[in-house]
Amino acid sequence: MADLEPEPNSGLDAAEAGAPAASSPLTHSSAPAHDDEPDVRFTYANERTFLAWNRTALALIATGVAATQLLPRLQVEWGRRLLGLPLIALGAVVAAESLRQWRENQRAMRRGEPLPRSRMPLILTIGIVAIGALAAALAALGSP
Amino acid sequence: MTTPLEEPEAGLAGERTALAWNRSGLAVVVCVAVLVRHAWPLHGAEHEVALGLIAGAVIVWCVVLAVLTLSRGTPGSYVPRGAAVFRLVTAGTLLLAFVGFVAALAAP
Repeated sequence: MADLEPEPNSGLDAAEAGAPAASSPLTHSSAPAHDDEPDVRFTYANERTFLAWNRTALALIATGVAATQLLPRLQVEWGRRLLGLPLIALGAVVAAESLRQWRENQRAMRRGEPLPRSRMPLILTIGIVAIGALAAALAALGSP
Repeated sequence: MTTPLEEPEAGLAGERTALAWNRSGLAVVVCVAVLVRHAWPLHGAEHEVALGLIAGAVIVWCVVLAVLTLSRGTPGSYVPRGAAVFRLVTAGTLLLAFVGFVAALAAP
């Protein structure tokens, strides 16, 4: 993964190196070359996307922990844990996947390739729907 | 008559990204607070420890942000982070997930 490591001050270097308007950090060599530094705006956007997914992961983790603590005792033994632990696990998956997604996006941008399709929305949707269905089932059973 | 802006988004994109880092820091603090609340029920003398941990999370996040910003580029500017920072953030989130998992399992 050494090719993914940006050079120090990578965004500024790319702008200052061979761009027609050398004073602008936005300019970038127009022809997509192999492993070229992408436009800094795209790097920023990729960074914000990573952070947004990471915040989603943190929210899932916090919700899972809160569910095990704040919900009343349920009819089913381990009912609160049945809700909380999958939420925490889903948060961990989202966190790990967000790093992989950031790397792949960064690599694709440097090589001028199309961005890879993200699996994150599918993972998150399936996970939340499954946990929601589980919560509905536990609610139907009622509390003691 | 307005002057067309050729490159209007450079500074704004950096600013939005800096704000995103700050929101992430707040999310970390909230997550730590929930975990701490879980471990210490905030009654008796132990709440000082819990509040100290939450304050510690805030301070650590501020110091990390300041060091990262000041060490790369001029003060006030913002440059994209390196891969090591993303790995560190992900590792921190996974650590919080592990602690949360253990805390949820240990819950009465």
